[in-house]
This record gives sequence, C-alpha cells and structure tokens, in this order.
Amino acid sequence: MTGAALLVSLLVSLPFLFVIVRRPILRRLAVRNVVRRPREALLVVVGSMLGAAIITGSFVIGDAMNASIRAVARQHLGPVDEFVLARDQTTWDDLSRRLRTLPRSDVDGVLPVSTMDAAVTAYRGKQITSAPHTQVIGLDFAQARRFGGDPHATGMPAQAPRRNDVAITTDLAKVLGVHRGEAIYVNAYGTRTMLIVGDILPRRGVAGFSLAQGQESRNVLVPSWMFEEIRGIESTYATPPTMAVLVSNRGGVENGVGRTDRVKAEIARASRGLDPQVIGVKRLVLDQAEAAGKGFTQMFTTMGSFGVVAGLLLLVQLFVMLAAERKPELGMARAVGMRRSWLVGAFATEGWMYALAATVLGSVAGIGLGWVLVALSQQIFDTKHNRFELVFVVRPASIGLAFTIAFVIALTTIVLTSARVSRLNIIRAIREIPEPPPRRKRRWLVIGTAGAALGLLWTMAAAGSSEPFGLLLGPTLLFFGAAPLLSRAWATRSAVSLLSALTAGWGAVALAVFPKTAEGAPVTIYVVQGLVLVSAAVVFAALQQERVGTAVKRAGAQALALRLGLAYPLARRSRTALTVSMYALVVFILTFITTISHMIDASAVQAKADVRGGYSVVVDSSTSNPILVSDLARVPGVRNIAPLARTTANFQVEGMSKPAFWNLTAFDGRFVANGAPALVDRGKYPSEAAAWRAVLADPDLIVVDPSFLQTSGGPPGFEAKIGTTMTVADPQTGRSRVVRVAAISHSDMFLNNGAWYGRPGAKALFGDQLVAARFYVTLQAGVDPTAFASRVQGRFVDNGAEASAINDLMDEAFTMTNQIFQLFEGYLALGLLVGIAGIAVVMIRAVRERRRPIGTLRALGFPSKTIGRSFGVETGFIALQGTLIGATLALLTLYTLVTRSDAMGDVTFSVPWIPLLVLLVATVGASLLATVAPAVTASRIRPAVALRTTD
Amino acid sequence: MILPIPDGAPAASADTEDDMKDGSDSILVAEGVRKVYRSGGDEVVALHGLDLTVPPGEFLAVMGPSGSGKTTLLNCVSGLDDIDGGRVLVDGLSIHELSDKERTRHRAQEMGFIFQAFNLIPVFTTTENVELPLLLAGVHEREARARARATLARVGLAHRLERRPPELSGGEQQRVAVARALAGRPRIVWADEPTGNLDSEMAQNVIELLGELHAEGLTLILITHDPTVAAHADRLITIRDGRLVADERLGTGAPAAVGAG
Repeated sequence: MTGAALLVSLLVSLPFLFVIVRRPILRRLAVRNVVRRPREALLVVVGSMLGAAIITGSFVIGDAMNASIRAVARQHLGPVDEFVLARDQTTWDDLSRRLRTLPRSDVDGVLPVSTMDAAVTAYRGKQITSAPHTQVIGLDFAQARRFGGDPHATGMPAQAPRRNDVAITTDLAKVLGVHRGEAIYVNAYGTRTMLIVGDILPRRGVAGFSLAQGQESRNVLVPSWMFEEIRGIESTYATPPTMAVLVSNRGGVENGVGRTDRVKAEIARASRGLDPQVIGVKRLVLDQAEAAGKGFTQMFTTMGSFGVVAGLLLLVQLFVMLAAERKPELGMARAVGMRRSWLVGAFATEGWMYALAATVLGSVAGIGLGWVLVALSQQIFDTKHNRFELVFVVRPASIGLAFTIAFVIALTTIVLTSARVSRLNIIRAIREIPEPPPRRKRRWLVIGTAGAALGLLWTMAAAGSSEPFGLLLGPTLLFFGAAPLLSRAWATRSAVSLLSALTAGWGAVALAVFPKTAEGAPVTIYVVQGLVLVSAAVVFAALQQERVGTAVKRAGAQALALRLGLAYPLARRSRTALTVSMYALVVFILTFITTISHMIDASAVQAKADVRGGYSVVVDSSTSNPILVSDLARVPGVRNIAPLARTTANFQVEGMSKPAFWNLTAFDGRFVANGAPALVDRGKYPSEAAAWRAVLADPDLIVVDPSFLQTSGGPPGFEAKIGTTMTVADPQTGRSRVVRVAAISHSDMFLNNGAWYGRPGAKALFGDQLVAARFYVTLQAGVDPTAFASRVQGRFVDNGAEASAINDLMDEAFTMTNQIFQLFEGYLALGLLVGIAGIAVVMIRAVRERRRPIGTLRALGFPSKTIGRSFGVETGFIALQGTLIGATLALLTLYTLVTRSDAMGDVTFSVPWIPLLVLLVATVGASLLATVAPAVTASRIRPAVALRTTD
Repeated sequence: MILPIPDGAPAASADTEDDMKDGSDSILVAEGVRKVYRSGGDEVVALHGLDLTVPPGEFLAVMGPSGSGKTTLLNCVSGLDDIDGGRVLVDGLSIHELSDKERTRHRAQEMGFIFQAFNLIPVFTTTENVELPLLLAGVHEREARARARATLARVGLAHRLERRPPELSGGEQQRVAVARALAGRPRIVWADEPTGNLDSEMAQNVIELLGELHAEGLTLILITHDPTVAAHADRLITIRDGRLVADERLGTGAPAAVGAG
C-alpha cells in the first residue's frame, strides 16, 4: 500500500523530474525563482503544508481508532474466532463433543466455556471494594492454554492455579485492589463464595475473554467443577449461566478470520439438530475496527476538507501573485522564443518543488497533529461509564496514502494554475499593460448552456428521488451554466450577481425545502453545501465590492489609510475573492459546529427531562444475583420502583443480510404508571402513556430511539420510523417474532436501554434469560438522587449494584459530546491558520508588488504610518468580509435546517453570540497581527529607492 | 511639529525656523550636495558636491547623459533621498535636517512630482489620483474632489474622470500625473523625464501644458534628455559624472548661477 501510494507520487512527479534532468533552462528558471527569495519560498511552503497536515492527522486518528479496537480483539478474544452459544446445559455437552470433530485443516482449537455475571467483592481492612459486573468463566485451564496453538496469545498460565485457587485478570485485581494469595468473594445466585487468588493474568486472549462493551476484562477464571459449585442452585429470578464453545480458526489471532465463513458452515454441519447460535466474534470486532477507523478518518477529513480547500485557494493566490510579479520576465521569455508549454513547465516545476517540500513537512506535522488528536480524544473517551484506551500508531501505509492524496491535490492545483497564468499576451506582459476584459466566447455559451441543461435534468432527478447531492449541485450547475446565456441579454455583472445570489439562497434552504433528504444525508453533504454557499456568496460579494467599498468609504472618506487600504481589494476582485473564500470556508464550518454544540448544550435540560420521565435514579445489578424489588423498596427515600429486564437481542430489518445485536429492555405496567420517558413520536396514539400501554399490551409492537441499529449492523442510512417492521430474536434459543415500531423514544445515551418491549412479549421470547436486574426509581420529595444512588450502591454490593442519578448520567454524556465538539472546533481552527498564514503571505508579496506605488505615494507626501495602516485596513476588510460571510451563511443554513427539518433532532435554534464574537474578533485580530510585519516593511520603503528600482 | 498649509510663505515649525531658514530669496539652494551609492563593498559617487540656486518662478531644465546623476540630483534636492554631504534649502528650510515625518509633510504641501513612468496609483481612478495630494494637505473631501475635477478639466481630461490609469493612453496618464502634481498648488514641481515615455505629439502637449503653468508663476525643475523639451526652459544646466558642467540662461546664452563644486 505504501509502495503503491508512493509510486503514484513518483508517477505524477515524472514530468517534473524530466524537466529537471532534460530541460536545463527550465530547471534553472524554476530553481532560481525558488532560491531567489528563500524567506518567501519558505512562507509559501509553510502556508501550503497545512493541507497535508490535516489529511495526515485525519488518517492518524483513524488508525488509532482502528488499532485500538484491534487491540481489543487481541485482548478480549485472542485466538477466539467463533463463539458458539448452546441453548442449554444438555445441548452444550453434546455440542462440545461434536465440535471436537471439526476439521483440523481449518480449526486449531475448541474450548467449552461457561460464564456468569457476578458481583465480586474484597475486603481491605475495614474497606470493601467491589467489581459489580464481573464475568466468572468456567473452563479447563490446560485445554485453554493449548487453545489456538499459541499459548502466549491465550493469556493463560503455564500451570493451572492450585486446587481451590482461581485466576483473575489484572483489570479485576486493580479494581478490587487484591494480590496473589488474597481472598475475593463471588456473589451469584444468592450465594457468596470465598476464593483465593492464585494467579493474576493479563487482559489477553482466553484470560481476557469478553463480549461486553468497553475495554476492561474483569474476569475470574475457575475450573469447570468450581464453576458448578459457585453456580449452586439457580434462582428463577436470575439469568442462567451462558454455556458456549469457543472455536479458534487456523491462521493466528488476526489472519484466522479469513476462514470464518467456512468454519461457521462446518460448525453448522457438525451441530445439526442442536441449533446453536454461531457468532463470528473476531470478524465482528475487526469489521468494527475497520469501520470505526474509516469513520474517524472520514469525519476528520470531511471537516478538515474546508481547511484543505482554503490551503488550495492560497496556493492559487500565491501563483497568481507570482505570475503578476514576473509578468514582464515571462513576456520577455516568450519574446525570445520560449514556448508557452515551457513557461507552464518552469512554473509547474517550481510549484512541484514547493508542493513536495510542503507535503513532506505537512506529513510530519500531520503525525504530530494526529498525536495531539489521539491524546485529546483519549481524555474525552475516558469517562466513568465509557472507558476506552486509544493507541497512537503511525502506519506507513496511511502516511503514504495521505502524502499521495495531499501531494496530488496540491500538484493538480499548481499545474492548472500554472497553465492559466502562463497564458499571456507578450507585448502587454512586457509593457505591464493590464489584460483587457475577456471577450465573450461562443465556446462558453455552448458549455454554459449544456451545463445548465444538465443541471436542470439533475435537479429534476434529484427532486424525484430526494437525492441530496443532486438537490444542491443540480441547481448550482443550472444557475452558473445559465450565466453566459443571461449575460447576452443583460450586463454580465448583474446577471452573475443575480445567479450567484440565487445559488447562495438555494444552498441555504435546499435541505430545508426537502426536509426528508436532510434527515438521512451523509456528513459530506454539509461540505458540499458549505462549498456551494461560500463560492456563490463570495462571487456575489466580489461583484458588489464597489458598493461595499463606497459604503465604507462614505463612513470615513477623509481617512487616507482607509481609502488606500480599500483601493486594492476593491480593484482586484478576483484576488480578494480568493482570500475572502479562504476565511469564509473555514469560518462557515467553525460557526456550524460551534452553533450545533451550543444548541445541543442548550437542549440538555429538556433532553434530561425527556429521558428521565418520572424517574430520578437508575439501579443496575448483577443478572445472576439481582436486587429484589422488595429489598430496594426498603431503602429510605424510595417512592416507586419500576423493574426492567435488559438483555441483548438479535434484530433484523429489511436490507440486512444477517441480524445485529442491540439492547432490548422489557417493561411492565409500573414503568408506565410512574411516568415513562417522553416520546419523540407517539405514532397514532392519543397520548404518550397510551402509546406505552399499547406496546405493553401488544407483543407485536416495540419502541425504538432514533439511533436504533445506526451504530452497528443496520443497513446504510437506516432510520427506524413508525410502522417499520423487524424481526426480534433471542440469540440463545433462536426464538423470534416480527414486531412493528409503534413509537419513537428519545436517545438515552449512557443509559443504553435500546429498544423498549412489553414484559409479557419479552418473557415469551427470551424465557429464563430475562431477569429484572435494572430498576428505575422515583424518590420522595427532598431526597437527593446522587446521594441516594451512592447509598444503594453501598447497601447492595453483593448484588453488584451500580446506581446513578439519571441526570448525572446524562450530564456525563453531554459533557462528552461537548468535549468532542470542542475537539472538532480546535481541529477546524487549524483551517483558520491557513487563512491567517495566507493573508500574511499575500501581504508580504503585496509589499513587493506595490513597491513603486508606495514610493510614489511617499513622494507625494503620504506619511509612512498611513502606508502601514492601509495594510491593516486591507487585511481587516478582507478578514471581516470572509468571517461575516462564513458566519452568516452557517447560521442561515442551520436556522433553515433546525426549523424546517428533523435532521438536527430536537434542538431549538439559538445563536452562541459570545463564542461567535470571540471567533470573529480573534480571527480578525490574528489576521491583523499577521499583517504587522509586512505593514512595517511597507511603511519603511524609502521613496527614492522604490522609484529608482523595480525590485 | 506642525507645518502650516502654505500661503505663499515657506513652511517651517517655530522650533526649527531660526536654525534652518536662510535669508536668501531663492526657492531652492543646494550647497555642496554629495551623494554616494554603496553596493556591497563598492562605492559610486553620484553627486560630487554640487551647488545650485533656483529663484522662485524659474523654469529650470537639467540635461546630461544617462548615468550622469540627473535623477539623483532631483531625488536629493527634493528631499526624496538622503544626502551624504552638503545641504539643501527649500524656501530657506534645510530639508535634510527635518525628520522623515516633517519632510513628508513638507513634500505634501510644497511640492509636486511628475515621473517618466507616470507612477499613477493603478487602483485609483483619475479623480482619486489627483485628489490624493489635496486630501494629504487636509482639504475637505468634497472640495478636494471639485478641485481635482477642475484640474483634470484643465489638462483636458474632463471626460476621463472615473477611469483607472490602465484604461488611459500614455499621454493621458502623464496629463493625470501633471494634474496630480498641480492640484495641491505646490511651490515647486519636479518633473523627471515627463515626456520620456510619450510620442512627440503627446510630449509637445505636455510641455506646452507645463509651460502654461510656469507662466502662471510655478517653479518648475525638469529633467530631460530631449533638447527640444529643454528649449522651453528659462535656464538649462548640464550634469556629467555627478558634476555641474554647464549652466546657461536660455535665450541670452549667458551663464546663470553657480557652477560645479
């Protein structure tokens, strides 16, 4: 992959290497222009490297996510490729026996295991430590170590613990604070068993085996006979242990996954009649790693693309300025016989050198940026209820790919710009006479009309199918394509102004006019929308520059710095538009993200109330030793309790080739009576309570939230709606039922209830597996939920109680969301550096370009300070315009999206005035600071020197 | 330090007036002006202690071969460039003893410049170019605009008021430059090869225009290669290798003032 990526870079470099080797004149021109002004060359490189840094950083964070989940695969599964779930104890024994006959050519390990969820405690003096959700695994230690043929990968000890001793994982030892030889107490099925820690094992392979979410493995590994002793007498109120067989494919920890399909088929053949559930767990985790890695890379690349585009605009701007400055030289070169293609070659070769240096430096900076992103993300993901360790890795393949993407994009921009700037009239170039306005060419009329027709067709097709990209780009193509045609009947400026205003207007409201389109649209649609909006708005603003300038000048006509500062940006509209675009693009996405974050934050109070319903506290307990409602009711402060039974179910909707796991929570009448959570959509029912009661009474109905099946397993773009049908099944028994969505609930984040289902229907489907181990509690007036939760946790340690105030859980989730947005904002702010670095480079070049006019002005009596200030005015004017355009368009887009569609969920539109003001002031302020050096240089130009020399 | 807007009298601050003013009636006095250009380790003496006196209202032409120091002389005696020796009095004010700020203000109020390459500000319209010196002198915008337009009308460009320089011919651009030099009603106008980039007909127009202005009492110091242009002057000095080698009053053939230093 790295080789292929670098080969592409080499291939695109071949024409430039040819010029360097075989065209000495062009090489000399290119090289000397680079070394002629080393400081400015360095600025060009620095200004251009951020694009590569952003792309590389996006890949690094994606790789970190991928590697971290892969690490989970090694730690939680190791050699385990398939998890074969038996229906019960009887079939388990038979299943274990039959699977030993699996062909050795594909399988190198079969290990029967039984697991239970238990609460484990330990005593350290008078202090009790507890690990509520601990997995007790019963297995044969020797067999487990041989499993998969690589003892190290199993994490199992060379020698089994002595009789009566057990092994625990480092994660559990850490939580309990116990060491080898100390006692731990396993609480399950109403009994407490004291065990001695004989060994502490790493979180790896069989020892670290876990199918639960999160990165820790809190395991107690016991011999099978001891497992049976702990199991004791099963209670009808507890979930029976899970009986399964682990299978390892040949090929090692990661490569064995390639045999998953074949081995699954062989397992099905061998276990015919026993109907076990066969889950390719390794493939699931590795697929999740791949998807999460790609998802992160795509998310950061998508947002970073605004900065990348801004960087490309800077490159174009710099090359246009270079060409303008060298115009007489270029004219002379053409006059003495240099072909135009040679000029393009010399320019592009110079640009190739900049691009190469910028991409190399940018890639190195991107690795650093990626490290920072990983470190910050680690802090965000490390919350009380969501621990996840991110691993910083640098994969040469990704760096190579990022390098190639950045390099090819930069080079393409440079070659196209070089071709454009090398098109010149020799005489006009030598005499520095400006190019006349372009003639109306028939070719453009034909291309434009064809484009407009294509745009119309695309729009019509997109409107029919609610395809978001066509809805945005179709009309854009139509409007801009119509420009040459409309210019024939109307003044070009008026025609293009009208069309660009129409495009910007459409860009802002398109997704709101077709609200259903926005709801399922991918994130990239906002990039396209931003680009369309900003481009159209900047074209419009560029055509109205004189009006803007007249208005500003009217306010301060006497101020010469103002007059001079506005003169250049108003007269050079294309260049101004390029710089304004750089700012507008970055500020657009920054405002977009900042405002969404603000709106989500503002919606927190209502969201908490919606999710909470009439309840204040959620109590979870061990499924093998659940708290009894009657015991919980005796805790002071309790008013009402709603017992809930949460389990993992298999769901399959239309478009899915295989079912996906998702949580399901069963509720009874008490849950509804005490105030069930609010609903986003209650469907056909007259009230929310009526909807909940209908679902309780009818096992064909279910309630899901908007995120249902969206994060794992669901078909692309899936969104559950009222009436959506699906099959829900017990993963262990395979019993299933077709259900219909009756209502949509709010997303409950860390509460993780999943789909809501009536208890009678759930009991019929899941049988003994369904145990009420979760409780929603309403409290008496004046009882503090947080203090109450703490009391419950202490009182029911043996039941593995984990209690939280629902508000606290929601706050934790909102804090995490906020921090993610802040990370995005910080990342996006990098794009602003492009704008600020860009304006600094542009101003430095402007000083050189305007040396003679500055000399003239100084000769006429312009004070040096006025010259310096005029540069500040120019920068402020451009930065302010870009910032205002970007911020206004982002707010307008969000307003239409929030008020006209459900794409943003339940949020209410509001503007974060203070953060936006800070953003605006900081952007303009930083830009002005970046202009100080060129402004001082300009003010120090001595008139006689400037008039005497041109360089 | 404040320099008042001129009303016939030379400008100077109260603080420096006594120190820097000279009792002479000449508008320009250059004494032993020396200018050296340094480039790397090399030194090139561009002016070898040059002396020159110009009375008010005189039309002085400066001639000499390329590299003789004509433009350097203009830059040094107008205060655009520093000098390495001697002194220059403009209206009795020793301009090189002024700070950059004072010298800049003095230029804005007392002098006008016309360059061979026109040196108009390309992003300003003709009117804006011409009103610049007026605004610098503190004239109100409305009045500045009216005066700029009147001056442009006088140089025959009433129909080109809102054009930008690149849209004008060379002759028109130079007439804008003349208008710009005159708009502020300066005491001295410096013209460096004002016809150098023009064809003969346009050059003749510009020279006639300058002649008319001189006739109204303007002091004009003009550098030229062209003897026919120089022939319009009252007096002609010739410079060679940074030294004043000839000084003659045109029409009389008599020597006029001080020779080379």
